[in-house]
Amino acid sequence: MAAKIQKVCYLIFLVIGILYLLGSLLLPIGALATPKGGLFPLLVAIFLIGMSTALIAGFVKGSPVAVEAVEDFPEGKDRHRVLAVAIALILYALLLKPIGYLLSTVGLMGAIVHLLGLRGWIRVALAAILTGVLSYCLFALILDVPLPRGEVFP
Amino acid sequence: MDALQGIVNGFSVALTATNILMCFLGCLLGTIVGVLPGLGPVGAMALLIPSTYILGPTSAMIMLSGIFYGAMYGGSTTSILLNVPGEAASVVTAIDGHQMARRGRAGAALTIAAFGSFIAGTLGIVALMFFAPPLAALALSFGAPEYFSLALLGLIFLSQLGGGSPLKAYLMAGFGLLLGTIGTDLMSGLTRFTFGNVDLSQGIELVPVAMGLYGISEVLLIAERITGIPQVIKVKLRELFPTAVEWRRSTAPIIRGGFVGFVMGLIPGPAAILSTFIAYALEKRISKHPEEFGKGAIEGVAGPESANNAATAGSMVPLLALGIPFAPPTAMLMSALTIHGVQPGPLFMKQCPDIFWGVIASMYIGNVVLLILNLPLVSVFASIMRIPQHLLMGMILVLCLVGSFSINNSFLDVYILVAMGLGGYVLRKLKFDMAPLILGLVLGPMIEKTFRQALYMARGDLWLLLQRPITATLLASGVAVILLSAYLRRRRSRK
Repeated sequence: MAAKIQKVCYLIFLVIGILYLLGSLLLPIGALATPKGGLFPLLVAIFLIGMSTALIAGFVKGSPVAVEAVEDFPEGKDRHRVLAVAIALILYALLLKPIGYLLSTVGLMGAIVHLLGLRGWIRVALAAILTGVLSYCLFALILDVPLPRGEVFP
Repeated sequence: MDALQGIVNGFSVALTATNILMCFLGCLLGTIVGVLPGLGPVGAMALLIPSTYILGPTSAMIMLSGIFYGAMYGGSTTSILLNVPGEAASVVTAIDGHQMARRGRAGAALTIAAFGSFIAGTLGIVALMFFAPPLAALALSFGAPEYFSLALLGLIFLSQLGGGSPLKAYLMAGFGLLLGTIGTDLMSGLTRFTFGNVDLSQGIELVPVAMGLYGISEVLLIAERITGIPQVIKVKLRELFPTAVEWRRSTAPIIRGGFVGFVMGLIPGPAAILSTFIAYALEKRISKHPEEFGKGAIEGVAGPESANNAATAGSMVPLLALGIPFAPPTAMLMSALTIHGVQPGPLFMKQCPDIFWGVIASMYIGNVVLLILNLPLVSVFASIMRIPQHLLMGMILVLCLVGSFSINNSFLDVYILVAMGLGGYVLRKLKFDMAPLILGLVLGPMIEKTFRQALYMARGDLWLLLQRPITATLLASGVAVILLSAYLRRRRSRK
């Protein structure tokens, strides 16, 4: 499983390198004596493509620089837990703008403390509300740090 | 301004009430971060950079530096008491330190680790004080080609010496450089890879990237394996005193560890970690009782713990004297300086003597603070491990999210934070080193600027650049390191 993900990861970097190369070719490159803004990205793109290609080739050949012992990804319940935390984070990022800091943080904290082992809905709700409200008071009211207010629920 | 006059001035800056408080706070936070496995000084510094906006640059640097060297002290506590290294630089300490703890000598191991850290850390700062000014003076003669080759050498060393696959490390460095090119090209005003997004035209900030890679990904790693509260070996105050024999056996390793650490700190790469392995190997090799190593030899605690503290002082030299960070923690310090509108470089010492000498002086104070904090309060710090993970991770998440948003009041930084967190989790599982990515992002704009300036200077003639002795030496060193590493790797795989 991890080995497959490793290969996919190298391929993703190769694709990123190719897209970046195409993007850099759209920029003015200039000449060696008069380099323009596209030259350095072009060189970085070539480097990225070179490294990811070398890793893919090494992976196919079974070279130790490409097929390192990697950590296994979690299975079963553990995998579901990690995925749930990841989804909670993505939802948080998406909801932060429309519903603002306070509501989204309370929601995220509720999900995180529950997923990481806190049991009992009252305790979870208490921990989430306290974290959200106390952090809002600390940052927005005491330290005067501007926090997102939300478009739908300001 | 000579070094002695400078340090006197530095103490007058560092001994103000605000700066003493910031130094104490940095050391305290550093110790806590060092005790807790996972987050590390880079993640903690990333978390706290936004909160330094309300401070001046000197106070901000004093606090953030305190986290950097404070983490080295804290890391030993859990290594010795729990066999859980709080920091990568304390992995070696766990080998003999925990064995000592199991034999009832935890107090002695902790005291030697703390005193070793204090002595070597202080010696390292003395060396930093006398080493940085002449290096800064020498760097005044550096032009764009020298800076380009030096920054490139830093990336090469870090990628080669990280310990894992160098190809993977180079891929990460390349990705960091890619991220560094996003935004407005400062030399021509051209916007690159922004897809019309105004926020992106300012470039990718280091803080959300570092918080994502080190903070958010850590939360995901913790989510994999929910563990119970560990049992901590309790240490009483009267048990902290080592015997005369233990003191005698530790003295020389502390001095040697300090020397190894400082020298390693000057070299680009993960100095704090590497120096501990070298110091341990050195002590084992020259010991009259090498068979005791791994079973509770005090030299195995004294040498590495001294080395990682001296390495933090050594790694400040390239940052303060040249304005080039060679490791992620110093990259965070440079980022903090830049956010506060201060440009590090060879003129930094002359233009900002208060920050330069103030930070160095605060490191002396910080080492004393850490010694006082770490010995009597060792059990208190070890009990931090008893805070439930869900609360700790929740707090880290809130700090990451607020910290990222508050840099530019931009939702884009929150998206970058989450994306880097998720990507960082997968990459860390696949044994990609995050340090080259961070350094690539920080050094990328500088490498590009100096590369283009060097090409302009040489009118495109690369051979002309290689005729400059410092440039040629630095680039040749980079090539030599790559070839030597490839040779050693091949020889090892043949065996």
